[in-house]
Amino acid sequence: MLSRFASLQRAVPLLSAAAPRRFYHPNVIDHYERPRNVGLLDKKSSSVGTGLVGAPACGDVMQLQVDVDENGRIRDAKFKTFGCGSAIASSSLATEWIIGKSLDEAAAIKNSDIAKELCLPPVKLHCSMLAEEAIKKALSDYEKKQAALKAASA
Amino acid sequence: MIPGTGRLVAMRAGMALRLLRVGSAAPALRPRCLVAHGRPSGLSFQMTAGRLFSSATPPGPGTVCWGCGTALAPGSHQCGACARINPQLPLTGEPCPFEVLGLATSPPGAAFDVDLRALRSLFLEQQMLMHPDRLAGAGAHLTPAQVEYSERLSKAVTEAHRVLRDPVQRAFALLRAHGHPIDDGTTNVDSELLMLAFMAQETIESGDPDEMNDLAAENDQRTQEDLEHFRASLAANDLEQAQKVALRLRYWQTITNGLREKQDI
Repeated sequence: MLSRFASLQRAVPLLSAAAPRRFYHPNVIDHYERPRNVGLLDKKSSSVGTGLVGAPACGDVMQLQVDVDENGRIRDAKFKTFGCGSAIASSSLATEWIIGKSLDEAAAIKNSDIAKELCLPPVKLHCSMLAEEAIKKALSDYEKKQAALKAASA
Repeated sequence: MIPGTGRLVAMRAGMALRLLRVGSAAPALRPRCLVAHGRPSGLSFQMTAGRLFSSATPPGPGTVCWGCGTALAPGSHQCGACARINPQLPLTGEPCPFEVLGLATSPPGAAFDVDLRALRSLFLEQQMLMHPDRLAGAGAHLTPAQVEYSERLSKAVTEAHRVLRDPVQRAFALLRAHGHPIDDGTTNVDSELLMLAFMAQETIESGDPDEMNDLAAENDQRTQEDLEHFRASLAANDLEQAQKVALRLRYWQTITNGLREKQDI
């Protein structure tokens, strides 16, 4: 089973001999082998929102961060996911999609869109749900920070 | 005395090799003394074989044992007379590991305290009875369906043993048996737990040996502590609290596995 960190460092072979390729859609494998936007943004920065979510069933952890500019557009997004290939691909795709979008547009992204793009099987649908939740949490975190700043400067 | 030993040993002695024992309500079937080859004493093998394997169609579920012809208790895989596994009964879905090995799931506190040595003996006994090689070796001509069934049953027993041997996996199986699986969507994962899990995963990713050792020690300790909390919740019959604790155990276990994987490289 594809199960490792979303990181550019590879400590283990990408696909163990025991993981049959045919069970993972090429889109998912693509995101696993060439993940986009892996990394961290400065949590303390006022323009950064962080969303940390988890899936009880598999013990996965997914972090998605956004960097928002003065016009309310997402200028950068990074993710770090510790979990299966589908979870990594879902969060990788999510960051790809939200960069350049407004907060409202990003909030409108549905887990079903992610699942469709990656052709996720039913047993992995919760990974796309996790990614949608991560986006929303990151946006919400950013908005809380902004509200706190406004209150402080008022 | 290790808790749970008495119960399991008594189970072994009295009702040794029954597969499906539905709590204490099951009738007390007493298998006749098993001789080494698994055939009931007093019945000639020729008689048995002739009666059963001459017919074209195998017996249907819940009727008679294909080994000795004794009427089967409804819902039981195993003959009360000769203790043979009956291949016509379905083994569908994901069988509960407790059920497969004939262990009670209630009361939850007692069910969780499994004596590992007794469990292993139980597992070996079950395998000796039903392993496909053994069944075929008894001289019986098994149909392909019977062989396939015995293989599936054998796998189910192996898997059940694997799950029940590990306290964390056992905890999940017990909760599932009681209708409170950790992934039923009722528990939200606590943010602090997530942060701990995330930082632990980053430590594993870094590969720093000292940090990983510290993490391993810390993780082992909180696993043990949470197992105690789990036991306490079961004793108090608070399954919702047990579920919350099991969720934490899930994350600690993912970290344990991650550390092991990393250290094997």
